[in-house]
Amino acid sequence: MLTRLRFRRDFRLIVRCLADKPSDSDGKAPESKAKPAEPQKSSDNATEKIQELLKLMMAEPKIKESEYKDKFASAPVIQRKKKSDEIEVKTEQIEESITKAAGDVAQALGGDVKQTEAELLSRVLGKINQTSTTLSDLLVGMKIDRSKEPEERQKPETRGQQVKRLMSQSKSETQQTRYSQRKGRAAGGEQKAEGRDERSRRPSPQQPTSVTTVNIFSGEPLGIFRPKESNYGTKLDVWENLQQRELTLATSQPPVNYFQKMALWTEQGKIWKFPINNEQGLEEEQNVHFSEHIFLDSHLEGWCPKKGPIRHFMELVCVGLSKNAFYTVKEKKDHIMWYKEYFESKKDILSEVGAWETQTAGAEAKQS
Amino acid sequence: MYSNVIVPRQWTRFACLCRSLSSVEGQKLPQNSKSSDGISPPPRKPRGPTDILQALAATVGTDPTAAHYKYHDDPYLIPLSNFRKRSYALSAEAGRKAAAWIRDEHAELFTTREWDPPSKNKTPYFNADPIIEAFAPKPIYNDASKVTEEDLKYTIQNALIDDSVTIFQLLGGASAVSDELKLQLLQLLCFYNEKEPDSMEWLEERWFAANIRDRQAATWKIGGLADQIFESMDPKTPEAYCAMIQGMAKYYQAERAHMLTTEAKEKGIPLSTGVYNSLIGCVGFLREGTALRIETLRSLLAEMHEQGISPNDETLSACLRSLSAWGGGKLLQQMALQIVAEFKRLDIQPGLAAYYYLLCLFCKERGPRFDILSTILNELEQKEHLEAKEPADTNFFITAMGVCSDHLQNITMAERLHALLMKGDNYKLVGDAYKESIYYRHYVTVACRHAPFEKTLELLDTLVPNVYVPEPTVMEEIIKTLEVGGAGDRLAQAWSQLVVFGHGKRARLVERLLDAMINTYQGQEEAVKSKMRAAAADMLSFGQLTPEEKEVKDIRSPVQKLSATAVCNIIEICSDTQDKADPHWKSVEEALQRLRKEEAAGVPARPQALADVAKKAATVGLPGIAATAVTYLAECGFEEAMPASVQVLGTMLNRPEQEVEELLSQGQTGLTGSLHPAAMAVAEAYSIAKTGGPISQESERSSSSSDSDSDSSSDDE
Repeated sequence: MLTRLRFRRDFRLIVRCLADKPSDSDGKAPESKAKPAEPQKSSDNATEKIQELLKLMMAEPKIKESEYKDKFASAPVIQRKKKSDEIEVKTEQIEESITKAAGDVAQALGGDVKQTEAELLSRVLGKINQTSTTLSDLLVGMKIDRSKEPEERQKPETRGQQVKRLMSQSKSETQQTRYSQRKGRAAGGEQKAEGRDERSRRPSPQQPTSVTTVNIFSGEPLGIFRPKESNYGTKLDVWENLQQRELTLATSQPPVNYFQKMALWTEQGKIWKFPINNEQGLEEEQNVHFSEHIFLDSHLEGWCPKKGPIRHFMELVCVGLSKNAFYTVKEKKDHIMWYKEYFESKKDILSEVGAWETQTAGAEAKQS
Repeated sequence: MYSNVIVPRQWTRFACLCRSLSSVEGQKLPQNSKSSDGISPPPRKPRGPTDILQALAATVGTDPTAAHYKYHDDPYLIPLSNFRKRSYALSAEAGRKAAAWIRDEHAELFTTREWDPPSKNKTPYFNADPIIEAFAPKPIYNDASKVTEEDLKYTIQNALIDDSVTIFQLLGGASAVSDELKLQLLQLLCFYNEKEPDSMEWLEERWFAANIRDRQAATWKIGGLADQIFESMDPKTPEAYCAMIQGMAKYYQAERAHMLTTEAKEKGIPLSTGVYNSLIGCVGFLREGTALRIETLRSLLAEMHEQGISPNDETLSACLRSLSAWGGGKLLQQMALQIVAEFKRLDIQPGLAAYYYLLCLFCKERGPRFDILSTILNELEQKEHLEAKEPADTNFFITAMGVCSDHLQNITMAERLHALLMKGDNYKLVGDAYKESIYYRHYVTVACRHAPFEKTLELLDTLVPNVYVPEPTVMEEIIKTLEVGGAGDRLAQAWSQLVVFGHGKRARLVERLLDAMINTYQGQEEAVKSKMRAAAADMLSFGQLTPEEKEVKDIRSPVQKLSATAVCNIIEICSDTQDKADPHWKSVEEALQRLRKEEAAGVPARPQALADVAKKAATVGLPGIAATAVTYLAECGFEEAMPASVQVLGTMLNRPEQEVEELLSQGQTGLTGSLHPAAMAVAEAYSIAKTGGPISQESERSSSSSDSDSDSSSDDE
């Protein structure tokens, strides 16, 4: 049933092609602009034309590959036999198969079988093998139908004709679909779906119909490995890091919203990490107790006078430092030590002034 | 009542206190959720720094009608063609790169702070404390810089190959660097084959790069620095051997990799899974012929087992990669299934990369059609989210969609696959811009061919133009679908899309669109028809430069001309109006002029349409246009010219056709002077059509008159 349907459709296509052609060859054959001076053939009588046609047929060497293909594309009936068209030499064989196919089609269509067959053959075989024995049949067929047809085919195609032919092909296709569409519109949604189906069915003849479903887990195991403790051998840490890096690169994409952008920046270390912590980046201070930051007097022990202006000054320095949130403990200590060195370098003047003396004695006593 | 309020408040305060106490004192977390008095605060969840951001980002849906976030949200700055998308995004990236360049090249501008006390005056000083690595100038290493092993460590960690090689040389080469660092450098060199990898910083660049780095050829640098370092190592550690073998195998230096493996085995050095994976990956470079290769693969697996090394999921994908690279055929496919089953027994599930290789192996362009995709989809749809395990994973979706489109031609499968890609954050697996666009190309193609019309339209509305801009081939497919669906307004819209996408000058596409419009024109509503007319008129004027522009711009590449058929279609569409004052008649006129000046390729396919237009123009009262059309037909030698000219003249003179024919048969001389110039031109055309050439010697004059009078006649009639 389905094949029959297809035949019918294809046949409709062919008929359309046939019907389209003569419409523009009723009067005289269209001339290209390139050759405006060509004599008017339209006025010639039929016999002369056939003579000329035969001559042309004899003279023409071989079919052009492109034209041949073109034709096959226009007549899907033949497409089933596509394999055989590669063997160009064996034209006899091709012809046989085509004749048979045409016969089949004609049978399928019913009606005037002989005429349909002749029509089909005249379309198809017009170019393939002019010297074959079926030529006379062919011409007879043409006489029955339209004697103009093959003549036009034989002429070297002008651009205009070529364009026209392509047009008519595509048009016949679209007309068909429009037809089904119109039908669908008329009958409402159900019909529409049907028309749709027809469309999706259309490419089916071109493809192999069978799809083999394969379950990928259906194979027989090789039986090499036995599950046991996993042992991955020597580990390469840099190598693994780089693999991870490549993977991240392969799956990274430009951010698609502001949150993603912030996440990206966080990962790149450009903004504060959530939850916000103002000690971020000061991780080395995390293990230091706060008392070490605040009680700095211990660093004065051993060198600073117990009283006097220097002691007073240094205690103020310690208070100041204890309130500084930006220095590390080590920096604070260094800061105090810097003053120690400074005062020690000025020891002479300080002793003279009397700001140092009490301490010196004590310190020396301690050291000794 | 009162206590009811107060109690919870106190509890919360208490809980607050507890929390603050526990967080202050050494960041201890409450481990047990049950406390003695029946209160059970939920255990604290440790969160990473980006967790909150990711949760927030997940609440932002995608808006297909908006441009991507990276573009400015401004109608004038939203890119609508592939070229613009690319150039806008890369321009922004170029700006960022320029800033980074200044920062690196002129670091001194950012590294001093003059108001610092002397003790704090560090050089270099970075404008933040603690220092922010991401904003600090990148160190530049040259021959003069003083380097330490720390620098080498830094460059290795950041995969800066060129810098690390420089530092290595500066430090004094293989003899002066510690063994541990040497090994690290060796791994780095082997991994990248001494080529600088892509930077992590420039995301857009990578996204648009379409880098096809995977060249299947032996690209390993023989005698390079890696070889030298390896030679200099003594004793050679297992790690060094592994790195060397993996590097060689990764860049397909199969012979040497195998030699080194044999050497290592003889010395009793333990190898690793990674080594065997890479060896499996380059079997094809070692052996010729499918049977031999499969045999080698088997023996490698067996050897792995003998050595007591267990396989992982990368082993599976390496096996399948090799198999898929060796072509197709029943033997390889069977082997692949066996391997998958074997690993399944070991509880190793194939990853996306493995599925990708399976698809490559089974779904060949020409060959029997296998449906393995449905099993794969069933498998993947069960998973919560897909995890990327290796870079090849990003090939899965594009290949699977290709299989849906070309191999299976199945829209349901394609939709399932797309749903999978859109689930969660699976979209990251789409790869880069190039892969994304191929993915959508396949998807739109299969939808156009096999999906119901309404669904296709819905899909197109979602994707085009912000997510995906169709390429010319896909556009053709879309036009075909619209034509079959008979959507006239969509076709008119398609023209403006063509212009926006930058395909407006592709004559083939425009011709295709015009065909589609002509075929669907009848049966559309009047509003749609007028849109289509406007589109057709616009097509005519598009890409036409004014004469001044032509002079200024010396256009080297010739603009593709529309075919005469296409121009004819434009004329046909534009002339569908009964109103004489309709501006589209101007377009008709211009199109006719173009036809006559032979600015269109070929000749029209349907001269009858042109003849109809001529008749209509005459009826409406525009004899100039009618005359031009008929003259053109006659000059081209179409047989339609004769009846057309008779009819047109009949309409013009308001006489029956018989009479007109008689009049014309009298010949030229009697008519001259007595007729309107336009009518005269039609008469000329008749004679040209009849005799195949202009009879009268005044042919030149007549054609020029028909040109010149077209304006005047259409004005004053």
